[in-house]
Amino acid sequence: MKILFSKSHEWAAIEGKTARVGISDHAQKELGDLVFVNLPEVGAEVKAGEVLCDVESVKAVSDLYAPVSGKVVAVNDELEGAPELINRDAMKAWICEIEVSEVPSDLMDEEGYQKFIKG
Amino acid sequence: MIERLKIIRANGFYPYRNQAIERALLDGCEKGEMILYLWQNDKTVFIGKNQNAFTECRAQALFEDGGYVARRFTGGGAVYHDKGNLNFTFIAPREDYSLENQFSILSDALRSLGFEATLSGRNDVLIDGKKISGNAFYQSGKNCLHHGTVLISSDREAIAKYLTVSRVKLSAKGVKSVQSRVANLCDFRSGVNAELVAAALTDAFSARYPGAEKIFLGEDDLSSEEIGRLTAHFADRTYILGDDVKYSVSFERRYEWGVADVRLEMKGDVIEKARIYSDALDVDAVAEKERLLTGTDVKAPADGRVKDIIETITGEIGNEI
Repeated sequence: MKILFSKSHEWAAIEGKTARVGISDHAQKELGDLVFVNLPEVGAEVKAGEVLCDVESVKAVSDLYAPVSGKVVAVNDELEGAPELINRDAMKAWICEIEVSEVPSDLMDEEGYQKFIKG
Repeated sequence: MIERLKIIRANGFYPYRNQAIERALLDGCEKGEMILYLWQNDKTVFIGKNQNAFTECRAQALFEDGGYVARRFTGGGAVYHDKGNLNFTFIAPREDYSLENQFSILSDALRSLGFEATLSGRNDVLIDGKKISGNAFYQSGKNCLHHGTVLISSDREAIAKYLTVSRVKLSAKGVKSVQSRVANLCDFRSGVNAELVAAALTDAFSARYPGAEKIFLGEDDLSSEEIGRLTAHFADRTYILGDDVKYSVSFERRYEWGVADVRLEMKGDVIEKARIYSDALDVDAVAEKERLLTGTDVKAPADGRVKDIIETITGEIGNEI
């Protein structure tokens, strides 16, 4: 399994043909306490860089972007009742699972992403 | 760098069209631009993106009084709009968006009218400890949006009448009621109106970005096709109320078969429970209508025998509220 990050602060943990997707710890901190997660729909075709779903924090409603292209095959229902799981452990609280059709070449590994946010 | 300021004032008071204009401005905001949009809605409970319309407001009472329920795409709680309230929206690309600047514009504008306002937390602007402005926010990868209300001479009884505020939330904060913690600018000084506040905001906006070119836009400068499409989106009942929200519909109508008092429990577009009180002589036929209605999706009715009632329902609740 390899974990890659997007410039819009999502992560994709890719294993074989599927990727679990979430937001980075940095994004979680920037957003502040989450109060609502609108999960994407299972079956939805998503394109890397386009809106995947949105979250509401105490600060704002924010769009999240798909880090990879493909089809949403599962969503983490647990987040519906407990959006704070993302604040607690952003790297563990996956939002959805995508059957990957394409991984963009500009995704970064952990080290690259850490450099990027320190930018 | 902000090079161009765009200022636009909505012509009408129809909330869904005004929301459509706001959305079109957000989607169309280009690099180097900052937009100030000023708008007013007629009698509208404006709920947050993720709120339940039926727990936040007395929707039925509002509809009966000719009001609207609208759903924002920003977060936070429900507020009440009427012509005594002015809404402002700031839109800017992510790199030029600054809450600090935007709140300063609001306080500068209010100061120019003789009001000393302070920011409370992230969302509220207060004068003498009372809320005169509520604010909410949206961010996408490209553009960000900050909008808020300015209570000028809003009907405070209507606020109390239509908004249902959870007792728990208020008592937890130790506040008595919404009515006692919000205020109108007119409570502090008479003679203030939406025109004055709009002009003050426009002036404070251009004073904050003195080097930028100033462009006044009209609704005609926007794509009418796009505004039409977005208006339909914001007016859509499912968007506003949710597709699995339960609500009730009742009406009295004279049909060919008799006068009927129809009471329905709905979940989204589906009739979960139907009760018909009627003077029709054929009691079994009425019972059958109840049975046929139950489980029917009013947008896709399968049985023509209750067509007349379905038509009334879709007419009553329609696509627009």
